[in-house]
Amino acid sequence: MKNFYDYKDEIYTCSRCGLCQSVCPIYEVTKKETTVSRGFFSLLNGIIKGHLKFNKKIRKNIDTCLNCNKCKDYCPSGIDAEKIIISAKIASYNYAPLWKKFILRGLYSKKFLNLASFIKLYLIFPILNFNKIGKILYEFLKPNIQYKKQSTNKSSDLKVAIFAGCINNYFNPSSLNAMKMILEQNGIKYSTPDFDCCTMPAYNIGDIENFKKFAKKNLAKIPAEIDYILFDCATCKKAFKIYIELFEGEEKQKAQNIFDKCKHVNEFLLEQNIDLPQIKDKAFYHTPCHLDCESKTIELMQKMDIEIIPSEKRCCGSAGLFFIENAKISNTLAQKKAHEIQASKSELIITDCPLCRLGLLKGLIFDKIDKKIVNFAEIIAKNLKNDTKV
Amino acid sequence: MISMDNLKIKKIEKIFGKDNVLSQLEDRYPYAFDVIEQGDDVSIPDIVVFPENKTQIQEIVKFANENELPIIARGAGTNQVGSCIPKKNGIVLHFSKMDKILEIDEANLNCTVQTGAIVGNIQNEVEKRGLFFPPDPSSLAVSTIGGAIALSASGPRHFKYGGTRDYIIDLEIITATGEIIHTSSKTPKNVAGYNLTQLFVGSEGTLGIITEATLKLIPKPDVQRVMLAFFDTIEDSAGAVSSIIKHCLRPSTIDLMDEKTIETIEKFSPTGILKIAQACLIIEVDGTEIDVQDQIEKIISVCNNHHACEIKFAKNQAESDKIWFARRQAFSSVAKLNFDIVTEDIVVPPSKLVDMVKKIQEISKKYDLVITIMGHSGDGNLHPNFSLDLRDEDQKNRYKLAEKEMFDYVIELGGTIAGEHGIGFLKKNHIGMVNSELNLQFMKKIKEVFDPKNIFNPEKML
Repeated sequence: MKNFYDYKDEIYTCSRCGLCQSVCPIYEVTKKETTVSRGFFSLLNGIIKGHLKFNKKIRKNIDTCLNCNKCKDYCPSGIDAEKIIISAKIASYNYAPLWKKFILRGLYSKKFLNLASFIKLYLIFPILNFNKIGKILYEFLKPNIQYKKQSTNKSSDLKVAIFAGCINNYFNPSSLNAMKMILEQNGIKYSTPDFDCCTMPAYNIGDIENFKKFAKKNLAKIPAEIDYILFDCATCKKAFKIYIELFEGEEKQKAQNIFDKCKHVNEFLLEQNIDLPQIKDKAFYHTPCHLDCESKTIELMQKMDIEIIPSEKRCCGSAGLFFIENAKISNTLAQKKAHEIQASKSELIITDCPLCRLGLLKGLIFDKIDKKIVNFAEIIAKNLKNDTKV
Repeated sequence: MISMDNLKIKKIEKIFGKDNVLSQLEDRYPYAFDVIEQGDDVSIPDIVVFPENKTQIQEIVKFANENELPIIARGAGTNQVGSCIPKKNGIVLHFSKMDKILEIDEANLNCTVQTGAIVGNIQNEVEKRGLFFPPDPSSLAVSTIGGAIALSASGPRHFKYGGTRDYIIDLEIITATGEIIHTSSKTPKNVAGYNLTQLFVGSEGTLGIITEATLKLIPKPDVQRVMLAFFDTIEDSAGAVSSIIKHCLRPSTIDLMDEKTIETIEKFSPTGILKIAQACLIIEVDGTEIDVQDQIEKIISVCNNHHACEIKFAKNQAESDKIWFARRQAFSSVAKLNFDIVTEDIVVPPSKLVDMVKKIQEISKKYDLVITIMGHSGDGNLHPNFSLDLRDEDQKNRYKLAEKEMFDYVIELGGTIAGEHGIGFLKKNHIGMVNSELNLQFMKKIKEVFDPKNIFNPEKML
């Protein structure tokens, strides 16, 4: 992985045309150049030139980046802003907020996660249910829906492993339950290796040591004889893609081989051509910024006769710990999303990322809009259940 | 580095509210830049503020005038000539929060907008009502109307419709003493007195602060069609342009791309519709269906008469989008060629287009520099793009010499060095090439009248 100063030329390549301002969701809210790629690149270039030094203030500015990649897709000079900003976060890790580092300690520890899961946090929140934040967390953590499979005579030789994201695994397994049920219904055997957190939050804060440590751990736990590794979280899958860049030589090739087998559940279901229920409905679909199989997801929906209501592709504002650190910006983004959902008049609101679900929930509850948000896998599982012809 | 004392900062924070003021170095630093590369000589503003209403602007201008502090208006910072660079430090007014469209008056075909309103947004909003605001600088997705007025920006459609300056009915200005003036009335006509409106258009923030503008709107054309014509020689393409002008055909745009540009687009983002040829014209026609069809036939016949080697025209919206996509790729592809891209903005009489293009190609060889040419050929406005690394002293020097030789030839042909990008800081030293000493004296006197203490955007234009 390249370090910050290796990106000297790429940073210089930014021609400061300013077009990133038209797509950056953060700039749309703050309207300040200190929080958009062009501004970041001016700052980073200033560091390279020796005009500035990394410090808490610069760190605070670059920490407003959501890593949503909107500017990368739009940049006339083709600059990969995300990689450069992450390299700057690694270089300025010392200046990252302490509370963030503290929260991450929790993610690194399975004991802590198991404990948090055991307590069933949602039981605490009904007490807070009268307050908006309590209500959001309650809604977010509560519904643990089980999907029971029907008898089936289908069988498959595929061997798959499930990589369950932390939120889906420890806090709200509904989407995980749905994914397992769909696999079982199609006779696909799966294993659930004892993976650690993908540690994307560590990557995003610039804690490259822990990111690499857990990358090694997770890669080592991939069973040898396996056809696919399935993900129900777009960000976890992205982590496996980034793992490749951490290594050299043989190790790199190994990580690449493993990533080639990584599939988001949506693309897996489409490619395996499994039986799908017919929904016949209109839906509002929120594409997670990190989802790398949007077109396949849409194809899958079309096969299920779901009509997608066109919407702006804007980040929901959750983005890891962003929603805590920059609560004001995050809330504005969530509310923009809520307005879009309201305008779509759709009752079916689908997304594919647990944190996006939190973002959408937040917007809806802040704006007192009474609508439920579901994971796409749950829509399939729920309707497979009613579909007794299997 | 001069920095503002705490007392002044406190006072400014009182005017704008803490949230709308940036005073820390790391927050001010990004405002030291716009598009141009400045090397190591960086001037950082003392303070950056985000006005939300005109009272705040009046107060800050008064404050700046009393304390003789420079004041620099900034829209999206997309100008190509360093117009937003705070050369003498001072106060930057970033107008990103004054971006509202205040009124679209369908009965009187005009609209009134705040200075930070984004040009693309204005176009979209008026088009929803069947109206049209034609000026189309290529940065319109981000650039603000205040910036477009201050730099007198335009784009491809200038050929048929004119530029920003042709669509300004009235401006609201805050003068150096903090008073509000209107340059005209909100009527289609007004000849009572000197034309102050046009004095402020293109004044690059050196005479006062534009806070609101009333813009002229016209009916939106029913249909737009776009076509591509490829030519084996630059002469043929220029001949076709001349004939189109002579035959009084009025396509909305006649843009030109040279072979190097086409090659670069195909290298970085193959479009599948471009053909490698010496020159390509992108012609857009608009109007009523019958009129458009008639014009397309005539233009095709003109292009054929000038030995076009291939003509492609969009049969539907999808094909038209594909062609415009290719056109839009031009700049971004050229930007990928090297670390820096310097876009020139020369204008020659359209009849002299061939001479100019040939000269640029000659200069490119002579100084061993990559120059891609695109431009609005119908207006004789060319944008030679120098693709280079300005950190390399040798390349930088060759570029300086090449630019000088190019400008000299432009003047020889009776042209100008700035068609739609302005003068700013970058071309300040060349303004005398197109203006007599007396012209410049008049301009300096005008500046003195409006801004005796030289607070508005110092070190620019003159």
